[in-house]
Amino acid sequence: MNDLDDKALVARCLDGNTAAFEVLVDRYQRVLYNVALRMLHNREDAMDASQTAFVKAYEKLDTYDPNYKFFSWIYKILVNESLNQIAHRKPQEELDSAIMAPGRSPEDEVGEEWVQDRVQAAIVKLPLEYRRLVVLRHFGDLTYRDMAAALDLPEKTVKSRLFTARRMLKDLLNQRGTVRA
Amino acid sequence: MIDEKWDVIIQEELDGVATPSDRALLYDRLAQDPEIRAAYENMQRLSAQIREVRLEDPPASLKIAVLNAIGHGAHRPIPAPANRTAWWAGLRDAFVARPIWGGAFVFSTGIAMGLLLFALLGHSPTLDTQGLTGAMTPAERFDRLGQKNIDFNGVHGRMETGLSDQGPCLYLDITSLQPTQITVGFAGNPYAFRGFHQETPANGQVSFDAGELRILHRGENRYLLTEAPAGQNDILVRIQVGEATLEEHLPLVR
Repeated sequence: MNDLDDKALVARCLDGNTAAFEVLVDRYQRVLYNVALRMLHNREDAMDASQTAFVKAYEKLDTYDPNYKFFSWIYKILVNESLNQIAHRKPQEELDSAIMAPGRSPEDEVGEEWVQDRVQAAIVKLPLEYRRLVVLRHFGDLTYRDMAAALDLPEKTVKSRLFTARRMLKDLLNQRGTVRA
Repeated sequence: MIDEKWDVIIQEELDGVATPSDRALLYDRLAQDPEIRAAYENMQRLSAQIREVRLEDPPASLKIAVLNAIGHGAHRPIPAPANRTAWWAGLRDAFVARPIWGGAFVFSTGIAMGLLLFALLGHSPTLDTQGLTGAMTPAERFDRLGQKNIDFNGVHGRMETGLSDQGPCLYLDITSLQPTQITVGFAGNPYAFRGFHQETPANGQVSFDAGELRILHRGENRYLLTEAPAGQNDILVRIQVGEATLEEHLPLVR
């Protein structure tokens, strides 16, 4: 069943074959979890959002329109779920640095991991409407068109916001000395 | 500051969607204009840095939780034996028919419970087993020292050592559909941990024997061992499924 495409798997799920949904979970759990993690910056919340997204997708599978890609559709559910979680948070919780590598010593403050932490921290500092575009493009590997479908935005808006988001990200990293101006 | 038009073409090129004419224009300009070249390299570096941010593996429990929620049979928690009711009913009927069996059963159960308590508490006088009630008290601070993902023979999860506000500690997040024997020990320093907690007591039968903590695990559970003594450099965690064994030394000091 692993070699079936998403639409064929969805069709099997609708016929009552839950094993087909397991293949979809295997296929998308890593990327969905990472998208949620970059959006929410907290592992437990990312786990909850991913789990809820999968379960809601399963429950609403009969509303899925096969003219669209399955992963754009499930990302849309995930992004909405992540936004719900953020909306229910207290303001100070959003800037949590929980996913940065813990216990970093001054000696570690060089090299690849340090840069990765800085990039992650900068992504979290982006306003949500920009952050979700960077996350979907770079962690979900979505095209402009897929992002437009996932976010219910015109493709043009997606493109211009993504470009603005990258400029903001570059500025944030420049302030922190990670990317040269 | 370059013209926004160039910034757009640069980003489109890096996203692989620039038109052939824009691409030709850009590469022509890159060769002539150091400012645009610097902007291009800068954006290229940013894309590379975002790409290099490591993707994390989701917890193994994510898939199992999803499949449980949708009622996918193979991934339900290990069910209780289907004939449990019939077994108890049979026993009850036997006791009614022969009352002396009931007395013998109560007596032998009492002895067995006493022995079990002695084994759990008597061998390890310093171990805080209050967590066996399920009152998991996770450390407020946890600086990770070592980590190993577990993914073999149907057992998934993660083991992590770290420094908490209670000293060195070990977390075990285990999910398995079949009974799994886990042993945790130090070479030459048995019963070293002072606290043990588990999130779901029903899923882990715990004993302390022969210098090791032994857990007969099934389903999904989280275990926490706290307050290892000073001077221990590492801990050996062994997970056994049937004949297969995964062993890992994890550090307890930085």
